[in-house]
Amino acid sequence: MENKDIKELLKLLQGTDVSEIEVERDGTKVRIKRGFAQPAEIMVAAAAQPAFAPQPVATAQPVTAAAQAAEVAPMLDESARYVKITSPIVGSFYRSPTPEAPPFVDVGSEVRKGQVICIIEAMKLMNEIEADADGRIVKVLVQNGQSVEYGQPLFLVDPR
Amino acid sequence: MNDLTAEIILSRIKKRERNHAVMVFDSIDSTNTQAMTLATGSAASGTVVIADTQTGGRGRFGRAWASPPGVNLYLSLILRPEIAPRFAGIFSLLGAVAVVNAIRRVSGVEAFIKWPNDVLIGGRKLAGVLLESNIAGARINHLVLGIGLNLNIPAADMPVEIRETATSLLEVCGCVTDRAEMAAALIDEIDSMVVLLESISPAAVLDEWRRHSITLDREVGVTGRFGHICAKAVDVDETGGLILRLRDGTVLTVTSGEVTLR
Repeated sequence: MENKDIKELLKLLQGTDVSEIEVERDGTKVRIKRGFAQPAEIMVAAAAQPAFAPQPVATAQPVTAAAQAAEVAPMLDESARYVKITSPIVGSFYRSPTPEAPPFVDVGSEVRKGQVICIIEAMKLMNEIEADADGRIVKVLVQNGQSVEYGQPLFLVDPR
Repeated sequence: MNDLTAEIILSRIKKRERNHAVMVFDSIDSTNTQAMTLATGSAASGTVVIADTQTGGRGRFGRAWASPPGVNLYLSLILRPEIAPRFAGIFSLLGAVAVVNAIRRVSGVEAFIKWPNDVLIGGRKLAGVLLESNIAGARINHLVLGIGLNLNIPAADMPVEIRETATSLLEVCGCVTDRAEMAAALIDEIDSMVVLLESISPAAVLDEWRRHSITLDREVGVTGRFGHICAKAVDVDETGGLILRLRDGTVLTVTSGEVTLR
């Protein structure tokens, strides 16, 4: 399996509800786990003993693809101006409590710490997520219904 | 509804793992909505909201849950679990196990769980579990475990649209169930499972779930935003996610989606 294959797999997983996938091809097994405890990791290891198996292209070095931001506390954006509100769990992101209801917040909304700004569903548990910073929503970074990872940025907030 | 009072329910709680404040309403919009509102205030962990009837009984995404008076049980319990938010989903599976255990204890009937928390008998839905939580950063502020359990409703009185897919204990065993006794049993069994989770381990709760599952080791369909997957349900992971194995050997884990048993 080559690097481009792994990239393809990663692309395939983006925006889905799949949190873990294991693929075996040409004697090489790849396991991708979108996690919470650590950044998304890709483990590549040769399957049991095929002498002619191609060398693993990547060793067991974690590739921190989408989840470098795996901290729960609000973080400053590169510009040091905006605060990112990140997801505390793996699940599906919803902007409103029911499909018909208006979104909890929109671009331009003023939010206060403790205000519910979205719902993330996992195992049919609807988790209200509170803002952990005061400010104005500058950007909603995730589509309604999209899968999110632990630590994935959800909103950009211009802090007060 | 003299059969369903806080006093009677409290007198029938046997295990007493924790203190409970029980509130019983004749009619309310939704026990979960009420419990979430109370939990946002200062209601203690263990507070129980029960209603004889709900005017806005609901499942996820605002779907309606038929809640006629006098026959069924609508119960929501507030918890303030001291676990990391990433494990919150386990409460979904925990709630279903508590329902199965309470039904066995009160009625001697064995119900089964479809991932993550549908309680079925003979392929029909007997109970629904609705969970809502509030998470701030790395902490779960509160979690409400809501249960709608069809007890004494005849199939003929169920809404037409669920008559083919739902059932009640009356339909299953032909007996009328004491609602207060079932409410007390549910509270007891939820407490027992929470003790198992908090003092033993989340894995112990998942083992209990596996024992009552009709989802594992069989071919299932899963429909979600990823489309429709046909796969073998292999196991649940440490957070309650469903592990699937596709025909080509690919193994993947889902945290959402509707499972159909095949």
